[in-house]
Amino acid sequence: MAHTLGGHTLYVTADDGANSVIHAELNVLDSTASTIQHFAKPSDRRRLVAHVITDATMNSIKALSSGSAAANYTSDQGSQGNYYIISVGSKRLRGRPIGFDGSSPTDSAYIATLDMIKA
Amino acid sequence: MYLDVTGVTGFIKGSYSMGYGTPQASIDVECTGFSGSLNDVITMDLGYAGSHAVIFTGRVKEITEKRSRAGWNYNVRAYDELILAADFFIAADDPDSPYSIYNIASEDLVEDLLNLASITSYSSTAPGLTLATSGPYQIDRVYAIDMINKVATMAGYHVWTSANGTVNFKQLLPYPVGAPSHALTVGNTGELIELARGVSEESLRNRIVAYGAAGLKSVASAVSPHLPAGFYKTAIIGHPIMDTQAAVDKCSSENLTIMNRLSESVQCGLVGDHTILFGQTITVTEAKTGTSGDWFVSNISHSISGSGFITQLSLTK
Repeated sequence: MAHTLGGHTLYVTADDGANSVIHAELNVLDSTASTIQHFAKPSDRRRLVAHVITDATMNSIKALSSGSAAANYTSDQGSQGNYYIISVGSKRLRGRPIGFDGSSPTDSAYIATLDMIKA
Repeated sequence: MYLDVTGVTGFIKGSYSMGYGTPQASIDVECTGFSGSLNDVITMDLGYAGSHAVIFTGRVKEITEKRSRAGWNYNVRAYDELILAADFFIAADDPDSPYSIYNIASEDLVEDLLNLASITSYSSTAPGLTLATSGPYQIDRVYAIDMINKVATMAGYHVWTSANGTVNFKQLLPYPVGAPSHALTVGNTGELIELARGVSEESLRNRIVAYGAAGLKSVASAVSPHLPAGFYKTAIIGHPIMDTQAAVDKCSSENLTIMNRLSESVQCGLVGDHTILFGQTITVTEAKTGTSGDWFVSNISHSISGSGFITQLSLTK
């Protein structure tokens, strides 16, 4: 099932998440264990690798990263919430798309890499 | 960790510092939102979620809005109430009728000078030093804080601001006095992250000469075991408002007590502790540097950031 980002269709092949917490680690002299202090939890990050079909869709996705608004990401598991797209990488494929919903053999195809941070 | 500063939202990092040799306590806060204005009264409440306290009350003196690749932030700097005395320059409207004093107790003179600078929350004890007894003395074209500090030096006193914003004029000897409030050590139950200990006779003075009005003088001296036999390092303190022999005698003897000491000092960092305050006596034990016994907290700073809540102390004996 295709995923959508800001309403634009993606065929996701990899979805890597990164959740982190900022803890300060203090080391008392001659101690045998660290003193841990919780500071903050940064927003979750997500990295998608996806096929994108047609120049128009690729340009629309690139445009999502040029503004200050977050875009809704919906996967096959439903809405994942809004994300800021902090970078978009794209690589044009030599071959023609076959088997993607509604694609034409003359459409251009891309592999896109999207780094996103949760709003 | 816990940090609440008046008007601040989106706290990123913050720090507080106060010291015996610095005129005012100050705070610096970096944040994403600030609703205050210059000279607003601001407090810093700091510590841990289950245990925190107001450690600073002062006034906003600098606001910087900064937009960069790193974000859109505010930097806010505030100083305690004594900044008003530091900013208040005494200059008479009529140069023929300046502010003048006559036969006044030192604690009352300090209160009057603070009042001139709009500081009214004041606490003092009486050092027993009466000034300008023989006639009016004019105080003009001087910053209030400079005159206040001169009076404090004459009395062997110190001027500082408490966490609640009250200005104190009291004896605060720069060495440990009384029972310690905290015990710092190393190991699994300890707090000390780093420590350096040093000893110096640089600021030792074992001969104090006090000069007053009309040829009045007083010399107090003592042999120091830390200096060559018969050698004296001298400090001079003088002001014409000391116009009795009792005043210059008090000045020399009080300051000899304060200055005739070896400068034994410890600089240490520890897991943040907001309950340690400037002027307290604390015990520090660290065997490898030979640090032990009671120490006076002469400088203290707290910092909270992604690197943790850390307290830095300068301690003297």
